[in-house]
Amino acid sequence: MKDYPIKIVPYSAHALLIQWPEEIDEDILQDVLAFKARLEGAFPEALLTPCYHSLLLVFRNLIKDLTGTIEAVLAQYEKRFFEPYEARVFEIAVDYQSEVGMDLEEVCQALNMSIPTFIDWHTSALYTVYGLGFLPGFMYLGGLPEAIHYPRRDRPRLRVPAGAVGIGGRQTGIYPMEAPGGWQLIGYSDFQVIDRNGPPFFKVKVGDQIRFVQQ
Amino acid sequence: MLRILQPGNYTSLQDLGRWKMHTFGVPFSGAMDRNSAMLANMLVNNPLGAPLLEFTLVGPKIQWIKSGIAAFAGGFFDVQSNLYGPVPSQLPVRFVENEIWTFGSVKKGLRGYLAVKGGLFGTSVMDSYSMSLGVTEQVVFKKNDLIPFGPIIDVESTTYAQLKATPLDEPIIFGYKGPEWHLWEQSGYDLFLQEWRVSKEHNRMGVRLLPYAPKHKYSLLTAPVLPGTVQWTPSGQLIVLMREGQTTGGYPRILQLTEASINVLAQKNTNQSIFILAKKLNP
Repeated sequence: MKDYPIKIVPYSAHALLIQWPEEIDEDILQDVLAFKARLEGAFPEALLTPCYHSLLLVFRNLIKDLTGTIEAVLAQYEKRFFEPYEARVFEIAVDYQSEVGMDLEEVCQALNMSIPTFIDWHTSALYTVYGLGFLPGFMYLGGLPEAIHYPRRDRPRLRVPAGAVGIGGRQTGIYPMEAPGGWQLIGYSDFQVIDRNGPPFFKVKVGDQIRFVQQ
Repeated sequence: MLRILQPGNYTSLQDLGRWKMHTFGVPFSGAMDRNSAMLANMLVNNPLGAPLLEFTLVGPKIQWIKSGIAAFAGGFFDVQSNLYGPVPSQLPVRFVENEIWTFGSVKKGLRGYLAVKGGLFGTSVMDSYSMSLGVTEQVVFKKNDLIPFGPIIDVESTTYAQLKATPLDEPIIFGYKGPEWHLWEQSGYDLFLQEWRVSKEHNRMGVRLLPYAPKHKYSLLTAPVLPGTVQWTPSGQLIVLMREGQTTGGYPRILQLTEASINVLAQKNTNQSIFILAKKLNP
């Protein structure tokens, strides 16, 4: 287990921001999640939001003693257990023929690649969920093969349909609901990330893994 | 029960939001001006987080189907009852069956809150009654919607607090320096000397300020944000995230508004001026 030079800064009168070196890195994410697990035990009432190299810790009550609280949080970092987060792997079916994937042809042409080759690349990788944000249940997925990195659209669409699978730079993901967005749309998935039946209400957590399969 | 005769503008059911779902990318949601919402609830002896109506700029016209007690707070609306004339604000008021209240346009401030003793009833999704895009089926009320009264029992029963009305004339917004303040400092632009205006782009998600500050090219790894986070976009525009704001962002976070200042800003309409002052977090 590696100790990172983490930085704890006050974010608001209720919140502290814990920062690791600014990198997309599986080991950093694992350390963020290990620390998150430790803090969940130490501060069960608090909200903890992990994302890439950050962990936001929000208390219900005002932080009265800032220095003392930062020290208490830092002391928990020393005590974290390093058990790698046991990622669950979700296989998500994607319909690459769907008309929702309206940019697929253009992207393949620009990449000088056939559509089947593109699909092979997109379905070959095991993606890691580095964060949930932008929209409820929107997954920031890392691990897109370099061969199919492709820039976002110059002009974002006002309406990207729910279920659209997109590529934006070195990231890929699924729009869980209709929203404006600038990613290149390459397919459609009916995967429902929201589970309305009960807590925790979402099927996927940060640290979980995704594999796309051709429908 | 009450019936919406005319929905007004962006009239929705709100409580204090679903803060723990932030982890999954769900906006906090909840009343934009939490202070006024809690004040309205306090006046009818509700738990401070009981669901109530929030409306923006133009209030609704409602018909009370059953008698009860209500109070409204927040922005100033000239509320009229069809039976008893003007309805006083910030006081518990008894209403009778079939009485009609018309809220009209806001006279000062931006958002009004109407609480009914026992709470208003809706659909609880992810432990909150707050209507929120992508989370609840309904996002705003429409004509002829019926809203049942409580009793609401599953809300957090915050203890009585000494609440004062949100100051609608307050031009000063307080912010703590944010995690990327050092990037802003390099621009050499004095945020605290500027008179800022609320642009016409303001809603439950965010408030865009004018004029534009300097452009920049910083692109950060996506990181968590909260309501009250002031983002500095590459075009130079400052965006203050509000209650329905996204939970992560990649723009420099230059300030974090205090809770009281988020409430103050929630009552500012297009073109109103604000000044920003730095506040220190006590060590």
